[in-house]
Amino acid sequence: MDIRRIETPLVEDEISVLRSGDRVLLTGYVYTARDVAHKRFVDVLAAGEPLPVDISGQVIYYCGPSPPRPGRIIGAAGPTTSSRMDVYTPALLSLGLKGMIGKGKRSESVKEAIMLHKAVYFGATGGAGALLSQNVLSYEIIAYADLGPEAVARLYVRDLPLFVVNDSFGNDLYEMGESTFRTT
Amino acid sequence: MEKRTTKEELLARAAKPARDAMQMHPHYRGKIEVVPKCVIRDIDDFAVWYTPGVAETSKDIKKNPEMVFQHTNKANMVAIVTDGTRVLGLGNVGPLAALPVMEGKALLFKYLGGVDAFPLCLDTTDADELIKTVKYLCPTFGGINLEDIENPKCFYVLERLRREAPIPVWHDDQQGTAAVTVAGLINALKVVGKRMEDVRIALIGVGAANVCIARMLIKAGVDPRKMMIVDSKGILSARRDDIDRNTHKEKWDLSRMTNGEGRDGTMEEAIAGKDVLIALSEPGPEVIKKAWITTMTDDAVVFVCANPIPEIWPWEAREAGARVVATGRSDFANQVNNSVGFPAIFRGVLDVMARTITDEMCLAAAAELARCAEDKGLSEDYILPSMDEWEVFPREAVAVAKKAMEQGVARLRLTEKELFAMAEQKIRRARDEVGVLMEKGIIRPNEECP
Amino acid sequence: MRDVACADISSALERLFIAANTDLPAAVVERIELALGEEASPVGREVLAELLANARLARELEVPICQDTGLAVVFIEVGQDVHLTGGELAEAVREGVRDAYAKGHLRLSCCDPFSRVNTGDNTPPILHTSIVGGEHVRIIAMAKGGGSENYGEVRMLLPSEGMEGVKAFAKEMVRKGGPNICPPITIGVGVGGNLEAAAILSKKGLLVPFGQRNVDPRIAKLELEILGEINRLGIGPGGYGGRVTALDVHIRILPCHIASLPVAINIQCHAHRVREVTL
Repeated sequence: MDIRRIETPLVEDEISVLRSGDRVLLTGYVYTARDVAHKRFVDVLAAGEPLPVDISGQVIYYCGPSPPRPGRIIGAAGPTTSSRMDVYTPALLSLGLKGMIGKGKRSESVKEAIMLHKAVYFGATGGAGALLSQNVLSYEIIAYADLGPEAVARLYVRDLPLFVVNDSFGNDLYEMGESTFRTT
Repeated sequence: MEKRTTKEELLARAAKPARDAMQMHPHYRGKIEVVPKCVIRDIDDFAVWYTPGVAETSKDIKKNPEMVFQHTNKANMVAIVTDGTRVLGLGNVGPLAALPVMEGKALLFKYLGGVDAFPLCLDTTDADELIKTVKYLCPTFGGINLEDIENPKCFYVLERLRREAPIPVWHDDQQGTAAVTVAGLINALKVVGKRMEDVRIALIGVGAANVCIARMLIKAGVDPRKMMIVDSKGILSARRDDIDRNTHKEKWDLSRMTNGEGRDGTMEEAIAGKDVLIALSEPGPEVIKKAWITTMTDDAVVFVCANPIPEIWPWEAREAGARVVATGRSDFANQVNNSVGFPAIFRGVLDVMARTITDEMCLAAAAELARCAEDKGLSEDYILPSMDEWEVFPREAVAVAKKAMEQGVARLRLTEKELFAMAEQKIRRARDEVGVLMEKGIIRPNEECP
Repeated sequence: MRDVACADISSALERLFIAANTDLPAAVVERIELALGEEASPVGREVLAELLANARLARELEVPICQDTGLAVVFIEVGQDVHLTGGELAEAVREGVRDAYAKGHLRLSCCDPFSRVNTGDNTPPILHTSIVGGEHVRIIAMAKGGGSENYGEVRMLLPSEGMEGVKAFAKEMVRKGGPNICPPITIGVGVGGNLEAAAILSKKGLLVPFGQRNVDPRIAKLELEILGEINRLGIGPGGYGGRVTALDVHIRILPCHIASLPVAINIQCHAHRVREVTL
């Protein structure tokens, strides 16, 4: 399979080369945030305050890892279902968020926002928690530590194996794939 | 057993219709015209059909846009849109030269499917301009038939219009050819006793038709790893670095998905060991060599559909061991003829006012087409019905309409009986109309050219 | 009469749940390897290869296969001639699960249904006990993740809907789930009994080995038909499209009320984490 190596922070030139279905190995810093963290982001923005993280050009990984064994950086680190974060996403994209990693389909408004702001949504394989954890070289809680595994953390990943699900042109790997292979 | 013939004889045989065409066309000055559909009893009727009466219908539609289908012929009108860049086997002849061909298509739409089709030859070759123009035209029509637009532009145009146009859009060269080819293959495999899931297929040519055929075959159950596709440079594989993903996305996708063994090679190597050969490439008869057919498996199925001469003579393919052979020509057995597809498919689409034409609807058409032939008894020489089997058209239309309802893309819900009656009535009406016009001498025979 | 100590049941469960979460059963690995050969989509094959690599790594590093280490589902079959000693069975099971999730560094995913406050120890487990013949205690531990469980359902069909109704129901749930159920999935179907009986049957369906068909030939046929139909949906591994959406379908039936046709669909993701031991 053809593999593209890309790095964070993501730039538009790089993003516009990506197409749904591409196999990508991602290196660089990504930030974890799930439902509660996203809600807090939106509340913070509504109050006119800055986010605890500068997300411009960055990638958010929807992940709440399992606790690490002693001496390990992180436990199993697979993706959680992205749709729960859909309602918060267009606002973050408008602030410069360029990539998201998760699993499952996004809503139409998220897909439109991805096209509008030239961003990309990657899929990490659900249930491949051990494999994905191997690509995490550091884990540091940045904000909302009270949320435990759902805190906002900064991870340094190397060659994190992903698929491009929604590219910046409106393509959707879930739709393309099902449409190609559905025979009923 | 088909009569053997030579290239010269075939070309000579094709010369007669060519001569007749040059004589008949100027006689009639066009093959279609606009004919009233409503009564015109006296001048007073115009106050109803035009001002002031028609203003009411205009107001009604402004308030309820769906009423346009009640007050106008939009539901049965299809635009045949081309830019003339790939007309029949002639290549880029331009929109003016494409006009008689599109009129002919309109004739087939009406006579075989009862569909009112109108040619629109556009004076632009820019894909985005084409797309914009078609979108601007949508209020008048119930469907769009793209025709004879060059590859790879046609893929981009079809994909975008399918997404952005409010009425169904399709490209007969892609989906129509695919529906009829798949129907033929379903039956050919029944004749030789093989399954879609098991067969190894070689596709020769990566034009609009074969790209769509490949996609449809995968949806019909063929394992893409068992497919090899060949272009002018050889077998498509992931190692081919001459395929540009940006300009030839469909070809690139196929190069990644097919050819499970990852082989590189020539057409000859692609054909070896295959159960099925589907060629839509350069006109023959020496494009595919007889010796290559012998390297296929037993009971091979060979479709050689280049226009006007197939890639190999059908009798040579048979001599080389092929058991079922099909071409695009009516003078050989098993003609893969788009005309048993598009008129019926559009009939079904329009009768339920489907929002779009899905791949599954095309496959449903293919399955019904195959069944029509099967009902009459399949054999090596009969795998597809011909244009003159009138029952095929309403049956196929109903199958497409049912699939549209099943998939939730139909605006109307009707029973199978109602659908069949509607389709049959519209097609019969079209035939009767021409019959009456000819009987009454309004359409006169051309004495110089019987 | 044979004594079995509840403490032994606890420690068995502790071992079983840690093993279930880190050591994917060989039968599941084999089935996924087979799927790799069956899958026609290149992306699909890549995902299956990832799952196999993941299983290997999880075992080697003793890291959970998936970060959703699930709710603890426990089936215990107590032989009639067994005398349980040293405490109450329910408490012993709870302790075993608690210890597994604490010592095994497994995620705590159990909370109050309304306040959503975490219970702090991944208990209470979902315990199904039955009394059988003999003098043994069979313990089955299943770590069941929330993603796939969320697309399970019990429905009281009309008897006239019959087998076609069951097929349509299964297809509907799988289509709804799509990528969220982490295909390739396994489907357990419970038909008949009562509302709750059908549900438990569907979970038991997930305990049947891959490739094993129902002994009743008409049910075996239905299992294969549903499997075929699900795979024709084209959802594929990870939901990215492909031929392998489901690895198997197991149907368990019971007679039911003449006016009813209860049907339960239970979906299992590819991380089919089941371990058992008999004491």
